[in-house]
This record gives sequence, C-alpha cells and structure tokens, in this order.
Amino acid sequence: MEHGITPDGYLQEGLTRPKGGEEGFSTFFAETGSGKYVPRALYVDLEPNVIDEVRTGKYKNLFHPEQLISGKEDAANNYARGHYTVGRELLDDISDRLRKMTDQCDGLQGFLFTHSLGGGTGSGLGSLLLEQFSNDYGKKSKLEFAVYPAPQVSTSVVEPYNTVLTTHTTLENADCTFMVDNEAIYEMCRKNLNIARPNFNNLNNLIAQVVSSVTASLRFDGSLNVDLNEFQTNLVPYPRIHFPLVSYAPVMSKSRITHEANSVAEITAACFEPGNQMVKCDPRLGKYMATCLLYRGDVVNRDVQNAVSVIKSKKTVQLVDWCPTGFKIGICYQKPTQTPESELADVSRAVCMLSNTTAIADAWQKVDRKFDLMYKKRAFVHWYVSEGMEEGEFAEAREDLAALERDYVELGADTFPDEEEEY
Amino acid sequence: MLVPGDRVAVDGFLATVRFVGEIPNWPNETAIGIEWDVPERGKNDGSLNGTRYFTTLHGAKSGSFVKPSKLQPTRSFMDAMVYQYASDESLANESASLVDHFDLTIGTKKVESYGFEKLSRLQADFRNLETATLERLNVAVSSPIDSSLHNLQVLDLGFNLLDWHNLMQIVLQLPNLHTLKANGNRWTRYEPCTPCLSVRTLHLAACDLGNSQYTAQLLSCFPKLQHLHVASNGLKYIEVCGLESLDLSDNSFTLLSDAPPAKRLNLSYNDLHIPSLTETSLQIVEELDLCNTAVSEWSEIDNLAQLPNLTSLRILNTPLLNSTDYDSAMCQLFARIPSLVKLDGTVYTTEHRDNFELYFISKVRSKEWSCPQPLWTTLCAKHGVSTQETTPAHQHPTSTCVEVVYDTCRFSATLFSSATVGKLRGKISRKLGLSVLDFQLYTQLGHDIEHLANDQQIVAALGLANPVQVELQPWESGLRQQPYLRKSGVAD
Repeated sequence: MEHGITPDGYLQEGLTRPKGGEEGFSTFFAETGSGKYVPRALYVDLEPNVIDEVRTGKYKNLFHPEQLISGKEDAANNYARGHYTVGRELLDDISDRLRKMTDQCDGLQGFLFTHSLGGGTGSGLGSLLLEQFSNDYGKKSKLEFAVYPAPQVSTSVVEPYNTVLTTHTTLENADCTFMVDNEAIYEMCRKNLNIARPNFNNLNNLIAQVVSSVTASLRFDGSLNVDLNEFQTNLVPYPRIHFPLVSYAPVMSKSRITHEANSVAEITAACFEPGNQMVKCDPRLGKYMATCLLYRGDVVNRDVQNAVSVIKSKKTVQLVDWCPTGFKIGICYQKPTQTPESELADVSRAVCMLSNTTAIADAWQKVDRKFDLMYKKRAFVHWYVSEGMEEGEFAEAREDLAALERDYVELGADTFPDEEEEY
Repeated sequence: MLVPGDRVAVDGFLATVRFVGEIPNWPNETAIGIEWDVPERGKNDGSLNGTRYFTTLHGAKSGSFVKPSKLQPTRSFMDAMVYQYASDESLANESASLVDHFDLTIGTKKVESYGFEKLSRLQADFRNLETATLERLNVAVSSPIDSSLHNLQVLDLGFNLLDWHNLMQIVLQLPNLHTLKANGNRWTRYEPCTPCLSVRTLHLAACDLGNSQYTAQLLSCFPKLQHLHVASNGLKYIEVCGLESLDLSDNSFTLLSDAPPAKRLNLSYNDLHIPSLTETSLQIVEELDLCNTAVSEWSEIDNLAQLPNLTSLRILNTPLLNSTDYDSAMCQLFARIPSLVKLDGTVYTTEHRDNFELYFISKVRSKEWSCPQPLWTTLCAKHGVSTQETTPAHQHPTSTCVEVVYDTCRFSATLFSSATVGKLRGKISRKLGLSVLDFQLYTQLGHDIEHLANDQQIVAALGLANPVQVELQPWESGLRQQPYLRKSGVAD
C-alpha cells in the first residue's frame, strides 16, 4: 500500500514507478519481468490452515506459490516438535527456496523474522531457521519481530516453556529482537481504538503498522537507519541485550481523529507512555540505554526540537551513564498508510520509538516465573522428552534466561562505583 | 482597524472581536471586547460595571476586554509557510555536521538527529511539499501564492485567524489540494465566492457552525466534497448530500433521522435516539457510529434494521449496552440487524452470526428477550425451527415427588422429571449423611419389592406409587460395574 502496489502485485493506476525511490523500494520487493512486484518474503508454517488463508485470500496474487510453504502436521504448541522432529523435515525445503530468493538480491543486507514465542512452530521452527541462517549466511544481520506470549491472553499452558527455550536458542543467533506483546496490543485496540472485542485481524493490523514504521527507514529515503546493520549499532550495546522496546503513536480510531490534534509534541509525549508500548512494562522504573525516535510524515525540525526538550524536562527519562549512544532522532518523509479495513485513523504524521531499556527485563521475569512454577514439578515436560529432547536443555535454557535477567539488573544499576570507597 | 467579527489571538487563545471602542476603565485607549473560543477563559458577558458593550453567545464568562497591545501579530499564508518549512534553510546550509544543529542534551547525552538537514532542504523547496500543516500560526490573510506550491495536496489551517473569504482565496490558488483541514476557526462573515472543485475532504471541526448562519453557504463552496468532518460544532441540523463519509460526532443531534445521508456516518457523542427510519434517505448508510449516544431501547435497534446496507456498527458506551453484558448484547445486535458484519471494529463471520442467532432464538423462547414478530418469523425460518415461542416442558421441567423411608425417618425428595435413580441416591446420601455406597434402595412396584439397582434409570419413568425404602447394606461388588461418583452434578 505505502509503495503504491495493489493487492495483486501491480502498480496502482497512474504510477509509473513505485513510491519510495528505487533503492528503498527494492528492499522488500522484487520486480518480475511482467512488471509485477513480488515481496521478498517467505511464509512458513507446519500446518496448512493459516497459509491456505493467504493462498485463497485477498493477497493471493501478490505471492509466488513457492513463497508459501506449509507442512502437513502442526507442532502442537511443542517447541521440540517444531525444532527437532516435524520442523526439521521442512528445513531443506525452506533453505532451498530461501537460497533462490537471496540469489535474486543485489546486496543482501539481512533477514527479518516474524514469529511467535509461545507456539510450537514459531518458537521451534523459528529458532531452527535462525540457527540455519547463521550457518548459511554468516554475518548477515538477523532482525526478529517476536510475538511475546501475553500474560493473560494465553492459548496454551506450555507457552512459558516454548518462550524460554526459543529465547535461549536465538539469543546467540538473532541480532535484534523487537518484541510484541499480544496483551499490550489487545489493550491498545480496546482503549485507543475502541474495539470492544479485538480479534487477531485487529491485532495484526496494529502490529503491521508498527512493523511498517520500524522498517520505514529501510524502505524510504532520508532517515537514521539506512541499513539493517545500523539498527543494531544504535540500539544494541551488548550482543545479548538486543530486545528494544517499541512504542508507536498515534494509535487512534477513525472516529476520534477529529477530536485530537496529533501535533508533534503530543505524539512524542504519547510515545513515552506505557499505554503506547508494544510490551507491557514500566520504563519509568528502568533506565534507557539507547533511544531512537523515528518520525514519519509531515514533521518540521522546530517542532521536534520543542517536543524533545519537553521530554527532557521530564524526570522519568533516565539514561544510563556508561553508554555513549544516547538519544537519536530520525525522520522519514513518507506518511503512514492505512488499509481500508483498518480501524486506525489516517494521520499525517506518526512516531515510532525504539528504546533499549532495562525495564523490558520485566517481561523475562514474568515468563521465567511461570516457567519455574511448572518446571519445579516437571509438568508437561514429557511432551518434549518424547519428541527427543533432553531434559537438561530445559535447565540450560532457564539458566541462560536467568543470566539475561542478571545482565539487565547489572546494566541498570548505577555503574562506576566511586573508586575511593573501594579501599 | 479591527471591526466586530474579526478574529484575534491573545496569549495563544483565539477569540472573536465583538466590540471596539472606549471603556471608562481605560480612558484614552481603545478597548477591544472579545469573546473567547474557550468560554472558560473569559471574565464577563460583555458588560462591565453595569454597562453592556456587547453580548456573548456562550455563557456569562466568555467575554473579556483587552488592550490592542495584547493582540498577537498575525501572518499571511506565505509568511506562515516560510516560517514553518523554510526558516531552517540558512541554518542547515551553514552547519557542517549533520548532528550539530540539534542542540539539546538529555542528562549528559547529546541528542543526535539524522536526516533533518536533508528534510529541511527538501521542505524549503516548496515544490516537494505535498502536505503542509500550519496549525496555530495566526494566519489571518491570504497572499498571492507562487506556483511552487502547486503540488500541495493536504493543507491544515487549523486554529488560525482566517476569514472564509481569505481561506477560499488560498484554496482556489492550490489546484491539487484534495484535503483541507480548517478546524477550530470561526466563520463570522461570508462573501459569495467561486466554488472550489478540487477539495474532496473537508475538516471543519470545532468551528461553532451550530451558531453560524452561513453553514449552508460555506459548504456550497465545495461542490465535489466526499468526506466532511464537522465534529464538535453544536449542530442540530445540516444539509449535505452525496457524501462518502460524514463525521457529526459531538454535536446536538437528537434523532438519527435528522442526520443527512452518507455511506459512513459518525454520530458518536450526540444525545441521540433512533426513531423509525423507513421514510428517511438514510438507506444508503453502510457504516454507523453510535458510541456514547443515548440509545437505550432494543426497539431502537430494531429500527436500525430498516437500513438495508448497514454492515458496520459501533455502539459502545450507550445506556443500552451498559445495561447488559457485552456478549448477550452482541447476540441481540446481530440477530436484530440482518445485514451486520462488523461490530465495534471487529468482523464476525457467518458462523458467528449463526451462533448469535440461535442463541437469540433460545433466549426469546425462554421469554427472557423479546423480538418483533416479522424478525422472529424470518429467523425461525432461516434456522428451521418452529416459531412456537414456548414449549412448557422444555422450559420448566415438571418435578416428581418421591417419598423416602429410612428407619423411622420419613421425608420427601423433589426431583426433576429427568432425574435418574443415581441423582436420587445422591440426594438421600446428603440428607442422611450416608455414603452412596452404603445403602440400597428398594421400592414396591405392583406386588414385588424392586431393587433400584440401575442408577441410570429415570425415576419418573418408574411411576413410583409407594415410598422408597432405604436399607443399609454395604456395596455389593458385581452389582454395579462402576461405583457411582458423587461429584457428577447432583441436581437439587
């Protein structure tokens, strides 16, 4: 939509070139000989239901059939099935198609993963693929959008297991993981968009908007993060601490848009409110290691300066002492676009904040606690063992996550203790 | 020289001039009597020390007198454009480094910005501009617009000091403008002008159009309008037609039938009821927003069913929805409005709809909900169920009374007609404090003493005429294959 491409892959009427400039545009789309544009994307699922929806849905003509890969047997919410048994069967197939696709790229920068942490396919196969890519493509950067299991809106009891296991495996392989908490999105839909009973369409719509904002800088000219690698450089001070918090503003329903001004100052302030975060945690309790504000649309320099100075005057934004990168601001001239079915209002400007804050450790604490509750009694572990996993892997993964939690605590603590006091 | 009706800005607040002259408090000086757009901002109602100089429209505290020196300077349209989009140009050219011209620090960190220099340069060349926002810049007069702005498509002139005449002068010079936002202005004067054919979307929220006598003329300047936003205007009535979408939220409509037709109609935050709609032109409405309205009766919803194209409805926070839980409300809404697909932002499938309708039918059957006759007939026909509203047997199962004798103790147990012997045993066990396994039941059927060994047997079907005898007897193995579990839902 933002590039002026119709659901069947051709350009909208009246356009001769896709919007966004040749360079930006080709990041995510490839042009075929017939003037059709195909997204550089691969859909993978272990069971056919969901992908069949894509195959028969509105965007069926956009994708090449080879881009939609589905197995026959699902992972049954089981990390072990996705990672070892069922998932491994699909691995060669996926690698082949991926190789085909990467061969078409002029300059491969990296990969963008979107998967869940709680389900079997997302966690198991997702981490398996990440490992595989690390082997095949070496140092190419791998960014993830991971759907974090919502503390309350949970579909399966073993979500904490899957989350912990997949995080353990991907911690070394992914370069940057943007987490999206279904519950936070659900709340945003309910409160900000006035949707009484948000379903997955509503949630996905909002997530898509956020992903679009994060990647806008890759797709359009004139911005901070000109390529994928710079995302990490800006946001990831240590390889393990690669979970930036994403917040987006304005999230506003069509019916409320005429009542709100949406000035630069307002959307900037909204970004720092917990209600606009994609993960439920309280950044006021943590410290920021790095912050990027990515503006889109009709924004002028002066307004941004004023808005940032307002943020500065707030005591809640605390940056750690030791980190040299601080506060960065980028801009992309292209304003966000909404699909017609979306409940989000059409706005002329938006801002997306990526911040690496220690507060996100909350999310890990929550999932670890739930993991411990079950693992103490070894509940449900047999499902994993029967698929060929060793029980030791659980303990190992949990240990790793505990280390991650400790890392965050350490980073948040005021560093540089006065040397005098050491004597 | 100011005249009444002019618009001024004081300390960032907008106001309309109502009086220009002298007041005794400030001799030898011109006093300007103004009425604030925000009524709470003022001090009086236009009279001072018993003398009335003007009359305010919005309450007794919306007027003030100010000295001319307090008025903020105004800008012309081009000045505002240059101020907003081109004033950084010199700065950007001078600064050697990208980072430097953003001079802010947070704690000890310098705020770094990227892309702004490029942006400034891009914006300073007006030919690149497609969207321009000139909110709250005190734009008061139009000025000749040079052709570099011809690519402008979206223009926001909200909360400025423009006259309608000036606004139209600006708009008519922008050939590609398709969206015009002019929220928060007041149109005190109107002069006939050439209609603008390019603008498709018009925002005139919070313009106090309800008190303006020119509303119809203003709108006639945009004959090609498709989307109109006139929220928060105190409107009771508006005449427009052929619109795709119309936002009338936060106005003073009292009946849905007063609203003009549009495919997407937003009437949230109106104190609104739904009358019968058969006679109205609202038949084309596809999406309707009735959040925070006064809708309180299901009969009003039945009136909505008269809109054959209505597919999307928002109806949160109405007295009707607040009086019941959302799930049952959802069922009723879907059952009562046959064309509905999307409710409060969520799309429901036909399977959902079938479920909702069946639940609705069951509720109407049990007389908990009421339903108009034609709808009832249609729904029943659709799901192939009888239109008979009540079947008493289904509704209140008749009860059987069973006399129970245990030693000297004699009591009667009331059971549903569908209750089994097992249930009876459960009941007795609780009454007597015995385990179900410790006793057997016997009764006289005809001439024989019958042992009630089959727990699955329906008590009513036995046609008990004589009391049931309880005999203490340990559970015999082999009599029943599975012991009767006390837990399995004993009905009282």
